[in-house]
Amino acid sequence: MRSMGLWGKSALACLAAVSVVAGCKTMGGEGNSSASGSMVADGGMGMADGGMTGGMTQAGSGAMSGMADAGGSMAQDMKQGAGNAAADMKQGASNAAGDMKQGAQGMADAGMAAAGAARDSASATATTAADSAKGAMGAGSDGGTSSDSSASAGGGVTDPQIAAIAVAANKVDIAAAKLAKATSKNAKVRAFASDMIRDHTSANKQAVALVTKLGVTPEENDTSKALTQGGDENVTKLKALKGKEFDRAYAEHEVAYHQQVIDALDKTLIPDAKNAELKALLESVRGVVGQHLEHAKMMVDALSK
Amino acid sequence: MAALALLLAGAADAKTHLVLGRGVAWSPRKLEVQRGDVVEWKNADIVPHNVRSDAPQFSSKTLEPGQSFKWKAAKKGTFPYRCTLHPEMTGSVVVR
Repeated sequence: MRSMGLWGKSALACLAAVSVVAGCKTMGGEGNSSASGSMVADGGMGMADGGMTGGMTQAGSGAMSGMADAGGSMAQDMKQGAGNAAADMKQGASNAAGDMKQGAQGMADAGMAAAGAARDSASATATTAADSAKGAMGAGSDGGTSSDSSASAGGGVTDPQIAAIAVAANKVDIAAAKLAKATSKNAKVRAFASDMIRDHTSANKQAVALVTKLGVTPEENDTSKALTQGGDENVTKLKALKGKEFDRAYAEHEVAYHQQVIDALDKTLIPDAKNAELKALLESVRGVVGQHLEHAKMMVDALSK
Repeated sequence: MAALALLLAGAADAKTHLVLGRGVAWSPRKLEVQRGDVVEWKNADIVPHNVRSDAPQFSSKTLEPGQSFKWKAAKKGTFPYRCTLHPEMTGSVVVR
């Protein structure tokens, strides 16, 4: 298994948080919105299954990309965990079928249990990603709890929250790139870092200009805070490395980080963006990040020769 | 006199074709124009780009988001180009 490097772990933690928040939020949202009629129990459990599976899958992808071995086993265990939890929830659903109120409560509990199951699975099976997975799942669980209210208010990450996430994501990569430029003596690494500084600085400028124009004030949230904190922690860790170790850790992190940003954009940020201009901006970000990912992969390949 | 009229008519028919750069891609990626037409590349992206033909036909400075570059297609031929800042961002102009 290829080492993720210090940065990679943090990026996974941070960006898995985006996915987990989405998964938990879905569960909370559906639980709330489905609290009517006799369909509640069946529909509710169907949604709980779907919500949990989504949460698991996304949490898995958050921690897995670029970590074939640990990620694979984690996915397997998560799947198993999801299956078991789903069976439990189905049982709970049939018990709650006659009582709408009770069913709704059961779904809320199921949502929390699913987040917990995902966290436990990740911690138990992915040793190398344990720290990051725990952090991500922790953020996810928090997000799940708090997102119940946002979900009941219509669901989804709000545009102000998306703006804060986008700004934080850009800043994190700029900070890593500045460190790479200051530390690395490898021409490819330095060139890549320069590209990251140029593009993410410009992307941030455009994002800030757009939200200013739209009158949107970026709203810090669990995900944006986790991104910033994870970025700070990993820059600190990366500072302890030198030479080829540094180059490899930086490059591998860039692959994992950009892959996770793509996942977050595809699964959460772009689908949840309400404003058309913000959505268009995020789609442009998607193109840029995709290109960065390909370059980062080439950098990793070049460094491994 | 007739030649002048023809020249003026030709100038009047000249079109401007817009190529947008967005999401690190040019759209349309392949453009066909008539000789005398103008091609305008607009950076509608969130990052800087430039426009450089593989053969030395046209070359822009760095275009920040919102900026444009125009080129008059005076010579027939096929002209591949790219953004050298993002080399995967390629396109071509065919001048008939």
